[in-house]
Amino acid sequence: MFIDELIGFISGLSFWQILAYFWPFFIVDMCRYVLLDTFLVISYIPAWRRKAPLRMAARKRLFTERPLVSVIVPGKNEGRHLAKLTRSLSQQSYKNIEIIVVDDGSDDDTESICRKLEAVGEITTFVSNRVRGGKASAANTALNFARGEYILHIDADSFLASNSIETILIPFYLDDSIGVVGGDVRVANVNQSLTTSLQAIEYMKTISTGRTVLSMLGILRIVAGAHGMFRRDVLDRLHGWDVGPGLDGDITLKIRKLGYRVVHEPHAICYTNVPVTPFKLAKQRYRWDRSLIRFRVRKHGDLLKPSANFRFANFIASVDNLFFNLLLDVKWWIYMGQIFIFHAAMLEYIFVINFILYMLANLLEFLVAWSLFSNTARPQDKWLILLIPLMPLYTGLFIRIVRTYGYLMEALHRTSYSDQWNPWKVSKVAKRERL
Amino acid sequence: MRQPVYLRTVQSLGRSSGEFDKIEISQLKSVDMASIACWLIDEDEPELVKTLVEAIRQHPCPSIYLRGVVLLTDKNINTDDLSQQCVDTCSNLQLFDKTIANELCSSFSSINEWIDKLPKATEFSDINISFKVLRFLVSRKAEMLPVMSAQVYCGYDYPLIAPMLETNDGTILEILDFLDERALLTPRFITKTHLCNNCNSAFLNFKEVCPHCRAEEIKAAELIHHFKCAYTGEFSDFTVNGKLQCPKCDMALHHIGVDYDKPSVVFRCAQCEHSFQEPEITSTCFSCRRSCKPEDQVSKTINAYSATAIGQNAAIFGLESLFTNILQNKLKLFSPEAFTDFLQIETARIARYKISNSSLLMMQFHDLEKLQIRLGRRAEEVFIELSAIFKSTLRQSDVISARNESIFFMVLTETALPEAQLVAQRLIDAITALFESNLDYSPAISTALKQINKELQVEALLEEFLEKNVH
Repeated sequence: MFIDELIGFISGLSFWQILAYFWPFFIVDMCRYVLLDTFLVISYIPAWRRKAPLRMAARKRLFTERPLVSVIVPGKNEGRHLAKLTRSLSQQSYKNIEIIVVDDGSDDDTESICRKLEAVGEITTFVSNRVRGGKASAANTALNFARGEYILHIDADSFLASNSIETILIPFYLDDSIGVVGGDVRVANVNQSLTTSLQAIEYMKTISTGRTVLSMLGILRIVAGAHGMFRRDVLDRLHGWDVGPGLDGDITLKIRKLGYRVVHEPHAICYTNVPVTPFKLAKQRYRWDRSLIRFRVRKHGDLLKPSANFRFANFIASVDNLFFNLLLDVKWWIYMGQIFIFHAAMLEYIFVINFILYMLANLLEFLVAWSLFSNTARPQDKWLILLIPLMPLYTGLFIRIVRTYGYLMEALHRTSYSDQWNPWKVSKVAKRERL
Repeated sequence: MRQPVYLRTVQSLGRSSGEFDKIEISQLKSVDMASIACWLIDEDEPELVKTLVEAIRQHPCPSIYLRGVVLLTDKNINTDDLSQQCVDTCSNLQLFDKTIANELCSSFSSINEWIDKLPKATEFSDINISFKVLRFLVSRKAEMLPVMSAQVYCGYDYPLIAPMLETNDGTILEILDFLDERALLTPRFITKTHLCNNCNSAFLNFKEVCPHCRAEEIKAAELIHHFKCAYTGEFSDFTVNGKLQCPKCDMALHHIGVDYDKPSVVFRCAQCEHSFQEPEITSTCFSCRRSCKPEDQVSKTINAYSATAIGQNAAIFGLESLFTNILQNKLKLFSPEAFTDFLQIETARIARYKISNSSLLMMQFHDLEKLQIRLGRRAEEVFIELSAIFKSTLRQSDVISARNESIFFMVLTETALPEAQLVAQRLIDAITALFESNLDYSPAISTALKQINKELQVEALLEEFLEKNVH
């Protein structure tokens, strides 16, 4: 009965009605995330193949020069994850690495675990900061002891595929203007809960595909803290990371401002543990989303201004970020208002059709990502396709609501300054100095 | 009436008047020991005192080396002066007269009586140094306390017994361990020390070294974290003209806890530049110059020692003849602690399965001491025979332990009280037969039997057993 009415509703729609009822999908999301991404990702394959001889030569150069890579792992109460990480590092195809772990004031058994790993040589240098200083301080402590020409920043609850370091280093040997390479981040605990499975699909779309596209367009604006390889000289120029949260996006923009290119290497794979429950996921995203206001709007708003250091790519990167995250979030609420006020009689049809459209878009994005990266994906991940029908609810409702709340709280109350993610003394100074 | 005798070296004739006899150390053997109460040494030169005391203590004759030694001195009594501590007592030279001498003689009377009890103390020579130490300890009836000393190899000395040894290379600790292991001495924990694993020297130079290359030149650096920009670096990075300034944002750092903090201290090796927080600790021996890690050093417990009841008997009759010593070799005698542990396990096992019956047999030889005195060194042969009786009567699964040389405890596993009674009777019969047929002597033996169950209290039982047999 409802289906017949639905079909009747759809068949009766004119072009302008379709546009009026579903403009967010057809004008924005389909164009940006379906058509553009699909087109660019498909064109990525021949380009990637064309560069195969160059990559071979770069790899040869890499193994001839064998630069030291410092893997820095800042963290608090992460001891239980470290054995897996250090094991994955010891199995790397690229061997000239040192591992520096900084314990940022842990109050569990992290220190004793790290001391044992240091004693058996699994960790090169372990520094225990008795006084917690925050993630940026821990990363900078590690940087102080790093001796490598390249610095790999990695989260303690992550681990790498065996060729990851080798793969993430190659772009530096292809292009001298690259300052930082972001590695692909995939979900390690895919099957732990429905929440983690949905995040696995999201990561495939937004990181594996999404960042590859941004990288191809030259407007990649973030390198994940979980997996990013930096040139040492670039980090030295910046004196390391600034106070977070959102320090990974912040330093990426600072590197772009210095004139370096930022690229994504989807074949350098890092597996990371993601929040298991919706509540923990909401907390994580709340923290991430507030950084858009705090850093991209307030701290790096100058990217949009025609100053002496103006660069068009940086301008577009910033516009893309602000438009597709901040403004389109506002758009979503406007659209909801429009539907509820003006089309209340057709509410159920519009929601169902939107649901189907976004589900199909998600399906296409999943298939594109799978076709590109299936050779490096775990075979069991293909069954994630069964969860695609849940994705419109996950991204369209859950993530959207958390994001909107984060934006509002940061814009109105600067709540990121009271986030426990940083020690209160650091947050106090950051708030006072308007950082 | 025993009298003190001055002892002197050839070089030093002593300062004292001719109140008492004077002899040279070379003439020790020729002295009639029955008339000597103690040795007097009237020297202030520590080396001479040491020579004289060593001459006495290293002498093999028990009636010479066990005799008390008095140092007559002008100096104040000083507990740090080893030359004063190696003698039994010190007396002021100026005040020393006949009255004090008599008091000293009576203070040594218990030692002299004990020496007199020794079988042929003036004729036999004690060659075994462990035995000499045991006899010396028993004769003093006091606890032997360790003293910290830079003069000896192992860092701790037992000044009274140290002169019995020719070297100060840590042998004294080995001897005391040897006697302790045989339950002849009771140790009391005083402290512990760490010795070189190569030469047992206590004189070790502890150093912090780089865990990567073992270099000794390492420098500690405080880390500073600037709150505003999150820059974290070594203290020297922040020092500009004696003030603290952040190298990242050029801000002056004023107040710790407000602008910055010091999250940790890190060492850096001057040789390999390795950074670390926990330097490796190593020690180098001043004596043999070998280096080792603390965990490889010999950790040694330093105890005060007093003689056990077994030790007191062994001091009279010799280590070899001791019954428990023989049983230890022949029967695998368990220590009282191990025996108690086994008994608890057996009690728990019986309570758990409720199908077994085991018995505890206590046995006391009442005249063993007399028998030892009567037999002297030949007691060993009798005790070997005695141990053979135990071995043939008890089964391999039975457990035997000694409380002292004459009280024995046995767990007769899987043996109910009636059968245990038979075992006890068989033991008594065989032992009685041994003594009666060979020595024309009937030993007095008491036994008690108890079934092993949860209510069994060994110590209370022992008390009850001893009380019953004494009365």
